[in-house]
Amino acid sequence: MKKRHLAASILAIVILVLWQLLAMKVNIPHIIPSPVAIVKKTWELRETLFLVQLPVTLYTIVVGFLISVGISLVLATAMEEFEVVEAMFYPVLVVTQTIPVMCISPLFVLWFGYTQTARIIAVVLATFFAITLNVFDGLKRTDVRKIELMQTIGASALQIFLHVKVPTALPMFLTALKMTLPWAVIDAAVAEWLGANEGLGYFSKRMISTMDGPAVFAPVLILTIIALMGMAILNLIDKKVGIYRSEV
Amino acid sequence: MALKFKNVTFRYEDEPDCIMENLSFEIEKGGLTSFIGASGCGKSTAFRLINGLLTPQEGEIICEEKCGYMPQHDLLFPWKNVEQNVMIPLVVQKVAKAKRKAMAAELISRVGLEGCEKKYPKELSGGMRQRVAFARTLSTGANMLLLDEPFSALDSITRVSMQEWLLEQWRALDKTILLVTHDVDEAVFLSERILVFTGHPVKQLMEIPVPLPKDRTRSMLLRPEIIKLKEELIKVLRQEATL
Ligand SMILES: Nc1ncnc2c1ncn2[C@@H]1O[C@H](COP(=O)(O)OP(=O)(O)OP(=O)(O)O)[C@@H](O)[C@H]1O
Ligand SMILES: [Mg+2]
Repeated sequence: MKKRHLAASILAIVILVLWQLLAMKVNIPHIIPSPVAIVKKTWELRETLFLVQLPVTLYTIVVGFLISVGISLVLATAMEEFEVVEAMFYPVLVVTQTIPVMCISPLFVLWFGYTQTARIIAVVLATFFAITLNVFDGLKRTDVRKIELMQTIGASALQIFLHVKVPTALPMFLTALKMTLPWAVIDAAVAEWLGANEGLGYFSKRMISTMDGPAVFAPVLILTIIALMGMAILNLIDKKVGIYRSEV
Repeated sequence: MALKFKNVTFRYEDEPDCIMENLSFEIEKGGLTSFIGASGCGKSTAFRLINGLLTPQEGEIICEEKCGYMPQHDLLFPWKNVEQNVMIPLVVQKVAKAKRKAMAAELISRVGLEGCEKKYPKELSGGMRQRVAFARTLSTGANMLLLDEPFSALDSITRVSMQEWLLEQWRALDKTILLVTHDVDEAVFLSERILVFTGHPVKQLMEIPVPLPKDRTRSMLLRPEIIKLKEELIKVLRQEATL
């Protein structure tokens, strides 16, 4: 594991150094801003970036993601428990999952204006299909024999759900979170590009019109760090599940 | 009497043929009885009828004891450690936390796994897993234990020592044990009474008493009358297999 981290770090450093050299050679900052220039710019703009724009974007991501997870858990559970719900929603979910949400984001702007609500909806729509389908599949994987064992010791439906179905589905739930977290970050930013007057995505877009290359990239740098931090947290939780991930 | 099948007929839904038809037998309290028979003859089905997972179409199953079911595969929950697995029946029965911890500790030491409380199933050997599953079955508080091929997944050396271990447990605990097995040696070494499943559907069980004392040793299997009994048993089973 350590060796692999080292290998990845070396590649990352090599790419950054090459990028830096290329940027210095080309020397047109608004076309190819160098990594050092981006970091410098991020520092210069720290007040607006971290205190004004970041909270707006972070709120969109966190609230959108939480709503999405909430709806997904309820819907997946209902689909697993009631066949009618499954018959009704499953095919629809599979089809709607293929809609590129980013492309219909402008619609939300039409409907909700330049509001945070529109952007939160974009994040929800970008993530909730995949989470629902994964949680549902995870619940479906439950070993019938384990359910029967629980029945012989007199377990209620709720006890079976909590002690057997939830742990069985948990690894797939976490996989879905890891898969969709970057989408949430990207979609929040894109939604700000499309229709907002605040947030990191909006800020980046505004900087394009001023031809300030490093300032276009500075919000991207922050967004990347947010996504990485989110992934690190999820990986930490996933370690606990790693004990049995391969066994369900 | 711990268990009585009275003219039981059972058929799986959507299946044309009955598994058992008009079947009657009795199990005494405190005994160790083996079910033996060819694969697919309905031994596990009989267990599922006893523990109430299935209901017969006709006839009656009278079971006066509380049953603890140990399924064919250990079915330990991989997300729970040894202690938590043993405590599952206690959690279901809503036993208070301190009490169930104490009960689990006692059961874990009974099956010789002190120090393994916090280990996860995948860290255990096959024999250890079976002992955890056995402790979990005991923690239901059942007086009748239904063990479905508890040792069939183990290598032969572990299996032999687990058989001796089970005999010890049976002598120490005052429980009725029903055991499904494919293995003639295992059936003869462990049980007081062997019930052979024959025919499709099963209409009656052939009863073979094993003339060995409760505190038996493996060398007793070499007695001439036991060797003869085993040969007869193998003959019966072989006839079944060719049917
Ligand atoms: N849920 C089910 N639905 C329909 N048929 C079943 C079901 N479970 C088992 N059967 C069939 O019933 C028969 C008896 O099965 P059972 O599991 O009781 O056999 P068994 O004697 O325990 O066999 P083994 O020694 O292989 O475990 C088999 O033919 C099997 O295919
Ligand atoms: Mg079976």
